[in-house]
Amino acid sequence: MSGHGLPVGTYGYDATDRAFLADRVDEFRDQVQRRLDGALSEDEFKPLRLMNGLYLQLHAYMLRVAIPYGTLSAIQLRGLAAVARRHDRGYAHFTTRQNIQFNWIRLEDAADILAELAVVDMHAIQTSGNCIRNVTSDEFAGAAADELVDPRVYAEILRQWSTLHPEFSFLPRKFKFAISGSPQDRVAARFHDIGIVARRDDAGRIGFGVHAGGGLGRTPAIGIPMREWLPEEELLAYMEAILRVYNAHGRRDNAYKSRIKILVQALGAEAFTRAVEDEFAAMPRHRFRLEPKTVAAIAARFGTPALEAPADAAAVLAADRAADPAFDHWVSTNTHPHRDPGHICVVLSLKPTGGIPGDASAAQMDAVADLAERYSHAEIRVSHLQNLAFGHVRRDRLRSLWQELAALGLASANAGLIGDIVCCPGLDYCTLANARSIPIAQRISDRFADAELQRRIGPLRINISGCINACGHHHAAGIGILGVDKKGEEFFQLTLGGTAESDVAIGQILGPSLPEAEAVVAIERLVETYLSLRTGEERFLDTYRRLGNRPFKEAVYAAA
Amino acid sequence: MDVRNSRRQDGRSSVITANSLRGGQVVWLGAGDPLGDGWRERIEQATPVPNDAIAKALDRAAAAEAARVVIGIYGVELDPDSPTPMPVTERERIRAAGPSVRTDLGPQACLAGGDQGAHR
Repeated sequence: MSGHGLPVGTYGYDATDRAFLADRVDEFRDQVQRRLDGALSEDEFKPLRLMNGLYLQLHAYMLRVAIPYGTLSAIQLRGLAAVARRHDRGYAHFTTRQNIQFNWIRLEDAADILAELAVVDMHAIQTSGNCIRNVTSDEFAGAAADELVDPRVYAEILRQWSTLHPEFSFLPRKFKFAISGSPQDRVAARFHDIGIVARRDDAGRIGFGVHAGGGLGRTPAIGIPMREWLPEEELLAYMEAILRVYNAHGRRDNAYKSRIKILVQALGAEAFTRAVEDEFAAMPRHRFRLEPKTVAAIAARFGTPALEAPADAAAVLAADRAADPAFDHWVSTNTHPHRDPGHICVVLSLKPTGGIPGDASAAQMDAVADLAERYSHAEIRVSHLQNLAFGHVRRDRLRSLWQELAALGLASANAGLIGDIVCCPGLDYCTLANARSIPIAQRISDRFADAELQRRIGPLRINISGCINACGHHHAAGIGILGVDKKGEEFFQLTLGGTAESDVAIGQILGPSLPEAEAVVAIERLVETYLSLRTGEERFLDTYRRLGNRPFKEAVYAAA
Repeated sequence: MDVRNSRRQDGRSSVITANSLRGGQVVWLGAGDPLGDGWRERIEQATPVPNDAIAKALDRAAAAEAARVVIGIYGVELDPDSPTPMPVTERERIRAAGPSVRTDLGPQACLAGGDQGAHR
């Protein structure tokens, strides 16, 4: 807790928020009972359960719980661990949208679970359906040295604006926001329906760069620039204008063409932007004005950490690094500079060698909650890359934290490296999937387990999706892998050259899809080709951009 | 019905599957009352139906959906070369066994004496 009694990093609910959640749980409990009694058919009940995050997946019901902008308190993480232990099979899965999924839920238990989540100020509202989904943000929010604005405050404003918004509860399709408070895009802003990057002008005033029409899935698209500078006070009005244009003109007759990216492409960037600006100009904007006092009131509901560190904290860390090469290596890959010189941000890898990316056991969640209380002001972040993070760790205590993380299997020194694989649940869990994504992730992870090899390869992201819906963000990776079904057999299509960072690009298909065993060999050949052709400190992406896909294609398919 | 499960070859057999409404777990239609104890959690206990008779069998089983016993009833074609009921598609093999990456979970684990939470 902060000095003001509020949880650090998460928005503090008040009595109104809690009463709303309690009512919502009661409503869902009644809906479940009416389904079991026969008053509701499955066709009637399905949209109601989906509005509460309850899907029917391959093995059972799956509950997706929202983690707003990826921030959790230790109490909340323990609440999630308790659900995993009491109602599931002792584990859960962190997703690429900073949410968490439980895979083995019983319909009969669902309302009780929501009630237990409400006790820790959590819910599953708008984690499904054609509405505005969880607003995602930077895992180093409120901590990073390069941050201009704390994006969580604006993510919370967007969350409150969009929750049960009557006009936007039945959009043509789902709608995803991401917001970054740093000029360094760590949120994949331009692969979202709306991507927002906070800025400051020369006078220190806050504004936003706005992109719209981005997305992955069947038709990957990079969002078009809508505004280079949107003043803070106009944030909600402009978002309202974009959503209104989409809601009015987005297609509802074809699910494959219903996302805003398709509307932007159909109208053209210029016409779409003009339509939004016309709507914005015609709106009673005073009704949507985001007043400074409103921003301040929201910001005041976030606890802020008291950042106190000994004067020699940085020197202690430097000495610890010099004394222990393994620790030094982990620090070089799994930390990020903090705005306070005595602190540092830390990535807790959920990518152990041969493990399931994003999965965490209830025991691990409880242990991470304990560590968060002792090392990082009782606050945990979830990244869209399926890792956890601590925002505010004292530099002089980092080695001690690392040792404790290692004992939990959470200290893989691979953040941003080839072992840090992003992977959807795939055919092992998902009813939409065409192929299993986790086993190929495990095989690649095993193949490149050697820490020194990973370091030599350098920054290289591998993302894997089990179907074209691209929950594994395969188009946004240096090497993307897409599972496809060929007459009941699993095949894998490779894409190269994608990235969601500031130099955003969509990965391009390398060639014909391959069976699993050949796909893993192909990854080895791609890496070997890169290592043999790179010059100096070139990243994989740099080499690919310099040479194109020809040498990589030859390496993969020459032997076939 | 999922298009991946509507491909059927003459001369083969299928079994009928669904999910339990209350529990959500995968179930297979075996001997017994489709409105009661006919739904089993092991594919080995399912009753194969020749493909030329599966459409009518599915129609009969649909009563279980109306009675709120199960949801999402469909047929799953079996591999004719397998000595035990084995779906032809990887998807259905995973549904029948459990996640291939967590062999401690699902019906596959029960066969090995694990997954205590499977049959609450």
